[in-house]
This record gives sequence, structure tokens and C-alpha cells, in this order.
Amino acid sequence: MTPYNELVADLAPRKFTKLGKMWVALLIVITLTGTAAYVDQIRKGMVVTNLRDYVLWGVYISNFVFFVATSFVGSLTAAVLRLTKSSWRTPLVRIAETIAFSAILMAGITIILDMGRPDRLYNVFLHGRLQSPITWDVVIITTYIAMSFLLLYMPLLPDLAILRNLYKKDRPKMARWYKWMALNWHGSKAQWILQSKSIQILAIAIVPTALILQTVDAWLFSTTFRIGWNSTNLGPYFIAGAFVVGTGTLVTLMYVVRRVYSYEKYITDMHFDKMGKMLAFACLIYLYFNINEYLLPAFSSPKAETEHLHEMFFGHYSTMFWFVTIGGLIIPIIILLFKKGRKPGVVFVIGILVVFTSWWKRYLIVVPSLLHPFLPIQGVPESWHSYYPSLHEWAIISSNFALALLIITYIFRYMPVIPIQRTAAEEGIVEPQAETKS
Amino acid sequence: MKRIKESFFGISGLLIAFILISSTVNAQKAKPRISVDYVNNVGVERLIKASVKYRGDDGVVPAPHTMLNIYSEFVEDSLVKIGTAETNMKGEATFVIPENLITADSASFEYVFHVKVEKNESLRNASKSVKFVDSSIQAEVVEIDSVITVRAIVVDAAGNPLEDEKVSVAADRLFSPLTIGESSYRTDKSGTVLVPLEETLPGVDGNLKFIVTMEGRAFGTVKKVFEAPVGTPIVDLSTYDDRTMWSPPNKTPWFLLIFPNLIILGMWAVILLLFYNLYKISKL
Repeated sequence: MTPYNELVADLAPRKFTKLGKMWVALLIVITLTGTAAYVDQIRKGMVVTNLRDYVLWGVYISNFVFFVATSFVGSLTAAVLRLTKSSWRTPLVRIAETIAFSAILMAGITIILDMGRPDRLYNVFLHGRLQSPITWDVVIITTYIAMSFLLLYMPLLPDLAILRNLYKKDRPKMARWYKWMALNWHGSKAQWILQSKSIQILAIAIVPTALILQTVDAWLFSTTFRIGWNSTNLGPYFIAGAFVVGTGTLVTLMYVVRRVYSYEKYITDMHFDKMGKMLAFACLIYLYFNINEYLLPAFSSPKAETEHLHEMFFGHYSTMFWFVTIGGLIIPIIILLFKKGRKPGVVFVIGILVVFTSWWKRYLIVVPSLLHPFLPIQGVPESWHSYYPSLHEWAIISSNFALALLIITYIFRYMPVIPIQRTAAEEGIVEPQAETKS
Repeated sequence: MKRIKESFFGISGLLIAFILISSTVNAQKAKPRISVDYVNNVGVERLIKASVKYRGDDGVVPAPHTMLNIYSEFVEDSLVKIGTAETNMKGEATFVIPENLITADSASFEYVFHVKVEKNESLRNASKSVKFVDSSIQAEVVEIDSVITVRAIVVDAAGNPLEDEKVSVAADRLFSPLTIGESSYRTDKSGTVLVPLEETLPGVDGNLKFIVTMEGRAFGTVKKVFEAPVGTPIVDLSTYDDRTMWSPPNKTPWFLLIFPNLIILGMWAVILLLFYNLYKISKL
């Protein structure tokens, strides 16, 4: 077997193992459970949730913000690594692009989950006010989905052609699919030039688009006159937070891919070291914005803000707040500052911790502010003054996560996780028939 | 004779029975309390304002949806029905007196109108009249010793000034009229009152609407409403017609229509170009 064939065999998609099948089955069961809960929500109305007059954005919108943030960094990391031509980027970019695509799809779906009458969604397009951040959000998410898809698909073309050729003899049915997706790619010079130019344009265009996406997401909150939201700091605060959760997700998935596919020689300790540094840097920046976000209102102490902060620091949400701040920021920074802390296993654990706490961070951004409006809502039951998500809500957002993971799993099942052609080119391995050229 | 006697007792018995039955039926109906006022909005319309109440289980309450018949009294006490009015939920009704009923050639300029509740299912028959002498107010704003002053002259229908009548002057405001000067003034021999405007008041485009009112038993309520450009112009701060961030979609600010749409078009132009590039790749 030639080195090229060895590389292709190594990096080509693989069938699910027994564990893989169990994983997919688990994700399907969770997705179906959530779908059933959602059907019930449609049938009975939002009453099946615990969203009421006070907390009308609960775990759904927390989830939405989380997915937008995750997707933001997926694309941005891929784009920046491409633009800076970082030599070590190759094994990471497709993972980042896949995360971005699946996360933004889920973000779009989550908005619909939060709607009592999703059948009226078209009215946003027909009668939406351009002054409303909701309209901006709908526009930017649609745009970002299209760009994330292109960022994932465009660089895949040479690999799809390789898979088409690989399966031509043994698996003609699969080969036909890859042929259709490869868009007649045969690696001509003209095709290479057009593809490289397109990726370059895309990598540049997606940077401002991602920044707008995350900023508009922040403006959904900051344009609302509420404690904890009405802050000019919120745009960069959200961007910094997105860097943390996105990088955390990326390192977590990098580790999983490395273990599942035994890609130790492609995704090396060096990658975890570099990404560990990036995650530490992201956490430091986010810590800085957190200090801005909490210290200044605490210092000036307007009455309503003081109550809100007291609730966060010492009150009902204090355990969650300190867990998120210490567990999700301070501990990762301390551990990742040391070289030993940037070993794959440690970075993976830190990644999981960061992702987990980042979700709860979004919960802390959304829920406590809603519980402290400037004017108390009149004539509502006492139980509406607090919020605990219902089983329906948990089932639905769990299915959201399961569906995101299912999309990633299936993309990795049928597409190469690590770009084959690019890796071959970097390692100086030439295809025997020279059908595809780099 | 016997037959006459029998007939007499028979008819008497029937009459007593009829009276008893009708009084029993009448006793089930409430007795209405009608109050009637005459209001002359000089130069606009003359109104009869009636209010109907009755004593119910919860005390005196308004009688809503009660049809009132309005009669005009002519010579030799003859009544002519001139129209109807129905009370609202507050038990109040307003009737506009036709202009031809108040004639300039009337001998005494005295008029009588009757308001009656008749053939009502829940109220007994009742009537109330209002009697008034036709009169008018002439009012204007003049400047006396550099002071803006409201001058009002009260006259009867023949144009003779009415002396010692109680007149009040107010400026029309959003919630209720604002009294100017004292609560009321008495007219002099020439039927005139002079009410100085001590402070300037704000008004739309600088116009102030004044309400001069005379309330007397003989004349009813006589009102003259007029406008004069003696107020401080109000600067309209409303942004209703402006293009603002809180306007409906058809009043979106221009900057928001131009720049975000340019950005959106720019982004989608790139996306379409890239899809076109994919198409071109497939054809190469």
C-alpha cells in the first residue's frame, strides 16, 4: 500500500463501531423524547413550560445564546486559522467548522422552540420592524447558517472527490453520493484557483458576520431596559464569553475525535497545548469583562442593581454564580497556565468544565434579570416570582443538544474529520494517479 | 229599577276591580325622578339635558335605556311632541332642540319644554318641565392697559343687556376647564364682565379656547366658546410623525433602512457569489 493510500484509508470516514451505534441510538432516543415533549407543547401551549409573566425567556433562550456563542467561535477559529495560514491548523479546522454549522442550526431551531405560535413565524419576515433586534437576529442567523454551510462545504470538495474515487469500485452507491457532492471536482488548476479564492473570500467575510452575530445576540438583551442587561459592555462581554465556550467545545471535541479515531499522530499534544493557551487567554479576557460587568454596578450601587447583584453574590443564585465563575474561569486559567495543564486529558476535562459552566452562565444572564424587573408585575401568583424549568423544557433542550451532537456525529461518519488532501499535501504525499492536485 | 241597581253595582264592581288591578300593576313599577336642564351653546346648538333616576334596592340609581318623550309647550298649554331621547348607562340623555322652535319673533322669548317618561315597562309615567328665557353671550379678548382681558356681554334675545347675572370665565384644558380670575363675576348695567388674564397660558399654536358661562334660573346654562391667539405657543414634542426607533415599519429611520440593508445585501451578495462559484467549479 502506498503512503497515499495509507493516509486515505486512515482518514476516510469509518463505519460506526458498536459503541458508536449505541451513542447514535442514545442521541436518537433523547431527540425523540424532546420531539414528543415539543409536540405536547404545541398541542397544549406554553403552559407546559414554567415560563410565565416574569421569566418569559428561560432555558430555551439560555440554550439559544449558548449555541450562538459556540457557533461563533467555530467559524471564527476556522476563518482566523485559515487567514493566518497557521501551519498546525489542518486537523482542527473541519472540527471547528462542523461545530459552527451544527450549533447555528440549533440556535435557529431554539428560537422557534421558544415561540408559543411557531406557525406565525412568517409574520416576522412579512411585518418585522427593522428597528427591532429580533429582526436583526433573524436576518443574521439566516445569513450565518448559509456562511457556515459554505465554510464547511467549500474546503470539503477535494476530499469528497477522493472518497468518490476511493469507493468507486467497492461501494458504487456511496461513490455516486460523493460524486454528486464533489461537484465534478477533478483537481484542475482552474478549480483550485476558484476554490482557494472562494475560501479566502469566505474566511474574510465570516469574521465581521460572526462579530455581528454575537453582537446582535448581545443587543437582544442590552437594548432591553433591565437590570443586568442594559449595559454598553454587553456586546464585547458576549464575544469574550463566546470565545470561552467555543474554544472549550472545540478542545472537547478534538479530544473525543482523537480518541475515537485514534488520530494521535494528527491531533497531537502540540495542538492541545496551543488550544489550551488559547482557552486560557479567552478565559482571562472573559474574566476581565466579568469584572467590568459586576464590579462597576456594585461600586455605583443603584438600588435595583444592588438587589440583583446581592442575589447573584450571596442570594439564591450565589452557588451557581460562584461555581460558574470559579469553576468555569478561574480554575481553567490557573490550570491552563502550566504546561502540564495543557496535556490532552487535562485540556479535555477543562473543556467539559468550561462548556458546562458556560451553559449555566447563559442561564445566569437570562433568568435572574427577568426576575427583577424595575416595575413589579401586578396580579400574578407568588409562584411566578421564581423559575425552575419544567420537565418539558429539560426534555426539549436535551433534544436540542442531542440533535446537535447527532449532526456532528453523522457529518464525521460520512465526511473526513481531518482534511485528507490538505494533510497529504502538507506531508508531501503524492497521489499515485495524480487525479487530484494540490 | 232593580235592573238599574244591578247594572250600577255591576259597573261599579268592574271599575273597582280595574282600579285595583291597575294600581297593583303600577305599584310594581318604580317611580322615576327626572331632572331637566337647558343648555345654550351660543352659536352652536341648544340642548335639553335630562337625567332619570329611580329608587332601587341599592338606593337611588340611574335608569339606563329609558326612552324619553320631549314636548314643546305652545299657547294655551298645548303640548306638541318634538322628539325622543334615550338615556345612556348613567341615566342621562341629551336632546338637540330644533332651531325652528326658538324663533326671533316670539313675544316673550320664553320657552317651556316637557320631558316625559311614558308607557315604560319598569317605570311609572312621569314628567318634568324646563322653562327658560332665550339669551345670548357675546365674548372677545381685548387689551386693556396692556393686559389681555376677556370681555363678555350678556344680552337677552332682543339684544338688551342683562344686569347682575353671574358669569364665569375659564380656559379649556385637557382634563377640565381652568377658571380664570375669580370663580364668578356679576354683570354691570351694560351686561358686561371684564376678566383680566393675569398669566399667559400655553396653547396649541398659541391659541387659547375660552369658555364664558352664565348660569341663571331664568336663562338656563348659556355658554359661549371662542378661541383667541393670546396663549404661548406649545412646542409639539411628539415624535409620532418622525422616523424613530420606536415607530412602525413604515417610519423606520433612514440610517436604519440604508446601512443595515447595505450590509445585508453585501453579505448575501458574497453568499450568492460563492454559490455561483460552486456552480462554476462543477462546470470546469
